[in-house]
Amino acid sequence: MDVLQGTLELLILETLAAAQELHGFGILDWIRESTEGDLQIEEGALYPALHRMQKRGLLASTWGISSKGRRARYYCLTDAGREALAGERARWKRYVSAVEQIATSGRG
Amino acid sequence: MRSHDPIERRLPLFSQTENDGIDWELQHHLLETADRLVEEGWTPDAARAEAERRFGSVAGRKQELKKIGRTTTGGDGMMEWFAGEVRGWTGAARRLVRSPGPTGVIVGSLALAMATALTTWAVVYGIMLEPAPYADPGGIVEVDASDEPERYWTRYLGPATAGSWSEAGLFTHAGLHSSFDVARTDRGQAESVSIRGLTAGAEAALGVEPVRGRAFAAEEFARSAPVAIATWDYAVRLEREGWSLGDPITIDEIEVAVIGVMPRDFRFPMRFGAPLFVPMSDALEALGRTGRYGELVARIPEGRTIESVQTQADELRPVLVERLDNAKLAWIKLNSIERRYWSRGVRSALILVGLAVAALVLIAIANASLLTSIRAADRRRETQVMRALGASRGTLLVRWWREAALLGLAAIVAATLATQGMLGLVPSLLPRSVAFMAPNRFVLDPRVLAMGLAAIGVFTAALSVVPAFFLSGDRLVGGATGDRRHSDGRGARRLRSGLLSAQVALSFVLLIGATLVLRSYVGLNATDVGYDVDHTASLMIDPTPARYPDPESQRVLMSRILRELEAIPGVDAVAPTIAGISFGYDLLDSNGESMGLEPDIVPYLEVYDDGPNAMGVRLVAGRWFEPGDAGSNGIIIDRAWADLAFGSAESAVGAYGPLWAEGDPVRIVGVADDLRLESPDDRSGRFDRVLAASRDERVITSLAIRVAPGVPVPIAEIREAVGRVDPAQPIGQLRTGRDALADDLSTDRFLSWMLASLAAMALMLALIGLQAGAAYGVQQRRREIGIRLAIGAEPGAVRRGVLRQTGAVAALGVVIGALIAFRATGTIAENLYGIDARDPLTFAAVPILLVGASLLGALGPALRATRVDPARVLREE
Repeated sequence: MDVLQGTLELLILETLAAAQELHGFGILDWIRESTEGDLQIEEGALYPALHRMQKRGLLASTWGISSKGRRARYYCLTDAGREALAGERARWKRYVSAVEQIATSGRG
Repeated sequence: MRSHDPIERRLPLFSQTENDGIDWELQHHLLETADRLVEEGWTPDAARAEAERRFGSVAGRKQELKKIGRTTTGGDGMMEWFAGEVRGWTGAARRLVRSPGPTGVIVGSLALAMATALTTWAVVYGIMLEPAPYADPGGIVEVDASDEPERYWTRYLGPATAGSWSEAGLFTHAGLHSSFDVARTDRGQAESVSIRGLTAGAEAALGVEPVRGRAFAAEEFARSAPVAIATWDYAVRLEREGWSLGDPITIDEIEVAVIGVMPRDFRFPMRFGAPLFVPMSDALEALGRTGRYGELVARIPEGRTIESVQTQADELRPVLVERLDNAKLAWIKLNSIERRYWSRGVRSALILVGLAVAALVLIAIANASLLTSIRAADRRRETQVMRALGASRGTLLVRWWREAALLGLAAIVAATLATQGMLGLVPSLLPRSVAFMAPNRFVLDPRVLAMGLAAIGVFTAALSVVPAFFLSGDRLVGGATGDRRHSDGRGARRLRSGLLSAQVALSFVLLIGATLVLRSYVGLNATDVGYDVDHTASLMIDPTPARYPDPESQRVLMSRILRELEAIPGVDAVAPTIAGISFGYDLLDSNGESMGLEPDIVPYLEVYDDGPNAMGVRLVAGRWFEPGDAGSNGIIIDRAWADLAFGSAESAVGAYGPLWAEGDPVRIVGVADDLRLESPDDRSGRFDRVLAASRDERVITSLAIRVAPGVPVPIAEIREAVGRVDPAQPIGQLRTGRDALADDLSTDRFLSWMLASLAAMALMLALIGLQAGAAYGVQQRRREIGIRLAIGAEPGAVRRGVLRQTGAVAALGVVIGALIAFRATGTIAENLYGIDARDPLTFAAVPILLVGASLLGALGPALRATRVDPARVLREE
């Protein structure tokens, strides 16, 4: 299942809220892992999203060394990011219930 | 997954350009993907190609990223590092707050144990180890000597001999001190105050100067001038009343100018500290009173040891005996004031409390370790995922270390606050046997506090290693490989049960100790002391010299008081009775031969030969005193003494002869049931006696009062009766026999309460640990339990299984604890009375209590275990 348009940001925010600090590969892996591989994110699309979110101040990043001794850029949430997460969650819930209403009325 | 542990921070990562950064980031992604593919069985070359294929156009993405033009914070290394630290620490704090239960228990255990340890240290240090507040305290000695009770102290240590000591070159300064109960009357109602008279020699021996005002002048000693120096605390009180330095207060109707204040930490080195000091002449006169006995305090010459001066004093003894025309000076003992407090019961009691505190600290550490390991195991999956995602062990360590450091910091703050609170409480909890030697308040040396707090720091740092230890074996099993095995390793389980068993073992030892001491204390309270504690009271009247200047007026005062007391309804008998102790003698048997016994002290009662038996002494043979017994040295000895020296109570009655070496012949008129005049505990093998004394010229100011059975001891009425005779007359040491006994037992009571509360704390911590362990065990086995219930297992059997596991851990702890307790009984034996340190009942009851309590603690988790919904558990999996 591909990620619906507009939900990648929410997934990134959720992942970083849960895992505190991850590099790009880690974020993808975390999402795959926690959805049992149900959600596949287009790998190339991840980094532009991360960079845009950092530019908007939702994320901060630092350089570190991964367990394999490689340099990696680690991302984490800023306070603005945490606020955005709350807003995104609410928006997502409204979206889901709206879609559900239509889906159930269509069936009836 | 932190990028800012100390090693990483030193890497020159921050100077790279933005373009370099994008390259690195994408490169990293491709390498990680390729690694993962290799793990899945791809060849390295194929894996690299596949990684690039999955990523799409690397060059295109680079362009896109450059266009976004993110300005990294990488340029400012310090700022980035700082922001990272803040994130790291707030993250750690958030994780701790999310699990308030374990966090609270870890912080609470550590703080409680450390505060108890620090407080105990402050008390033990303040009482036993702190240098006495005198210049060169090692050179100050108290001088004890043996003599007949009626001449005790006064002659050998009195004015006549004080000079002899110095003449012989034993001391550079020597002098007497004596205490008086006086009435202070400038505050309206007469108020009893203790004062201590010091001779010039005693003051010089102590060598302490007032911190405010001045010391006594030489001529003030000679004429026992009406001036006084106050202790710091009393001066604070006086100032509250509007006093300022040099103002007088009224004592015994004399205006006494308070001319100086002692330093704040000053303590008089002997028992019964007084708030006021007055100059005393060498004839023991102070404020118009004459002391009955003075005690000798002296300073030995610089550079000499107490032992060498003691040898010289032993040589001087015959000279003193000859000079004073008295052959009964059996021994002279010099006691360093520094070692004054190492008395038998107190010392061992403090050691026991110290050991108990150490055990509590160990239990707290075990508990904190246990809960940390449970937290670690609980978060195993989270850490596995992190590990799989590339977090290094260093990163995980830093993550755990931050949490441990925050826990430690919280514990340090809590411990500091708790220590301050406990130190404020301590002075009111100390037993009388200890309080007199304690400083006014206990303070904690900042270095000790720092050490204690550092210990928490070191311990919590070590705690961060525990989870790291668990997690080090976890690489890439669990989360990353999709293996959903939840339960943790056998090593971790063993470590946890080991910690639990250790806690139970230490609690067991503490519980055994507390139970033994408590039972011993209860036994001591119930001991028959041979006289009537429940229907007697005693008091002392020190006639105010201004009103009663001569023996005749004092005698009139005493007989009026006696009549008033006799008139109180319910009072059966009132009689002048003096209780005291004399130091040991070589006791003789009926043939006048030494029995080879030299008891430490021989407590005695002095009763006037026609005085009623106002202490309610129970006779087993012979009779009570009659008029004329004083003339023939009539004496009543206790049964233990009679049995040893004469074979039986009956054969002792009527015997005439000396009872101890160098003693005058006495006539035994009666034998009392075993007497315990000094203390209900007879561990030192004391012998007690009651003497018939003659009234001669002495005015006897100690009274014993006995009431009829069933009548409460009328303390208030006794006070009123004395007040009716003279409202300005202070009453000293008025207390019931029961209260006097309670004072004697204050060390035992203190020890009982201390050990009982420490044991209770230990038990509480151990139960928290067991409960947490059981709850965690159930949570770990949810799946297994769910399956067992699904295939028809009895819920009862599941519950029993959980209880069995906890029971086994507790039982192992009990066995280990029993072995320790059984071996360590010697430590406590000295503080036990009437109960064996290996008392079978205690050793049988405590395990039942402990295992019972653990099972009770595990009951909750056991009940929860059977509420596991099999369907849900299986669905979760």
